Amino acid sequence: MSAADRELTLADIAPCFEGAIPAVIATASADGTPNVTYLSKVRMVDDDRVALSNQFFSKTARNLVENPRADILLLDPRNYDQYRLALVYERTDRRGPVFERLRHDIDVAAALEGMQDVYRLRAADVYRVTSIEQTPLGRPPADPAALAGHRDGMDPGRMAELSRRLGRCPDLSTVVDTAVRGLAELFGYEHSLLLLADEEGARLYTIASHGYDAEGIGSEVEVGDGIIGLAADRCTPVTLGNVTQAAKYSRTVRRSYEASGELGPGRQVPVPGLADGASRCAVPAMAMGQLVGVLSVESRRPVAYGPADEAVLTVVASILANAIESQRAVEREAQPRPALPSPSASPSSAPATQVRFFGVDGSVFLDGDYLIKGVAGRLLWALLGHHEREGRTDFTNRELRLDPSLDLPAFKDNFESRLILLKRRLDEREAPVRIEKTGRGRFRLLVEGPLRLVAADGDR
Amino acid sequence: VIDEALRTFLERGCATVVGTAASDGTPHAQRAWGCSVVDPTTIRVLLDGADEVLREHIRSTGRIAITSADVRDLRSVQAKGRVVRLDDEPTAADLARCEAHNEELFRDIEQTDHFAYELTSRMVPVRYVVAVVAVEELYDQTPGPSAGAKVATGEPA
Repeated sequence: MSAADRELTLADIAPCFEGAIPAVIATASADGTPNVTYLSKVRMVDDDRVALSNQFFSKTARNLVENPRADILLLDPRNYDQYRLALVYERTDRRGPVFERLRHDIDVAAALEGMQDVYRLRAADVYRVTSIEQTPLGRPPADPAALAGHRDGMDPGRMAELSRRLGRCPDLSTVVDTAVRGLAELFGYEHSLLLLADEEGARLYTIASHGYDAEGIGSEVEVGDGIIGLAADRCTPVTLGNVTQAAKYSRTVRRSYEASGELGPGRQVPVPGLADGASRCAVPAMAMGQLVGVLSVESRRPVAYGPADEAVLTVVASILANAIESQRAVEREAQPRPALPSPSASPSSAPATQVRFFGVDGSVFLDGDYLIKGVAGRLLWALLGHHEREGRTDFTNRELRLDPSLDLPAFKDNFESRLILLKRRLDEREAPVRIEKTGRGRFRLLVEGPLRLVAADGDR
Repeated sequence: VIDEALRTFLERGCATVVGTAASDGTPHAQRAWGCSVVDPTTIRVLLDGADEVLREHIRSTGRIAITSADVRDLRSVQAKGRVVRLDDEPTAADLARCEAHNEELFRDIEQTDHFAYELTSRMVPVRYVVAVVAVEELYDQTPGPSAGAKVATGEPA
């Protein structure tokens, strides 16, 4: 029996609860004065109940103390079908599973605009649904073919194929590329990012991407900021089917806090990705109980991801995290053979490229254009120094790992992933300096023209 | 109570909703269209002519709340008052204004939220009635800690 032939249930209209389109709620005070406002999100609690977040002690909340009835309009973001829910206020939760689910929603919104310190859930108001009715609209329904929903489940055959592909990868660079390509080819995730945690666990940097105009290699996210940063901070999947609405809502709330003096002017949290992305799912990549990075996918379709997507991505992220950790261990243990003799540098009449280094943050600029910073920037500066002073082009990971100028932690450094990041940034920028892998734990610096190394005041 | 700035805000392509209540206090929500300011205390707004519950509430209590939001930045204002007249037939000017208003609204939604015109335009009702509302109170309804504050001058926060 289809939903059209029987009474509607909350499960039938589940996409309406993703917050892709604001809901409408009407209440009335004890004297019958109506109040109507938009709601950013209505949460389904169970077959008979929904919950609304209460973070501003609104007139809606005050009305419900006097008159427990409410009327809600919801739109299905897939086709704009509209539903009316009659509600009766049941209780207010300030702890427990319903409160935690709503708090998660609020925390995601807060993380989008750096409001974690002020924008918090006060209470979760739970309502019993007394009726659900589809309201007539002026125009006929959209093409049912457009009703694409979440993935139904995890296809074990495809997962096994991706696992096989990853298992055949000889090095870290191939692992991360194979993963994002496989997510597209086997699971249809056309836009994905893989970010790795830095040595301090404070930031994430993009090491691989798929489906973006600009690769964004090296772009960074602070742990705790935005959907990706929150997934890293909580070590839990974060899915948002209403990125556009949530970001707009958060910006508005932030402006309101700024106007009230509770927050200073904020910085925009830069998030690598689609300018018009409507859905995002970010899952932590964990190995041995530690956060290694975050795998994130994105879609222009609202409400594109659900629990099955989180499951697929969690498995892939876990495979990746363990592969990365395994590669790191192998690289750390590898005994290097003597470095190959360096090819003699050929004289060039091309104008010298200026390489400017700032030791304060390890940033490197090529002819005034930003290239990279942090450990990867210090690594490049160290390599170019060896090349300039000693004419060297061949290096081993092990010797560089011991270089104190790189400021790597003694335990659990990310040297290999920084090297891959540097290689990709140089390739992406078509720089006159490139890196070529020459064997396990070994690589060659390819310098294609004259360089002029310039250290900012006192940096060497 | 409605100054020029608020008039400009309300008459732009805002997303508008109304709330009413039955004599027993049962609330009812509905979408509204083509809002215009008649004078500093009077609003003219088009409602869904097929919504019998809404019409019954207006007939029995006359009370109405109207919230208009700019979909581009969610600035919102709620007007509360009484319906002083309900006309079954919108004028040609009402319909022309409503059509222009809707075009602006759906274009804003398409540009801001990426929902296609073919979807959003489904919300437009088959027929309209016109409510003339005497506004008694105005509230800033913009999401944030100041939501619900009275608007004294009409300028939405």
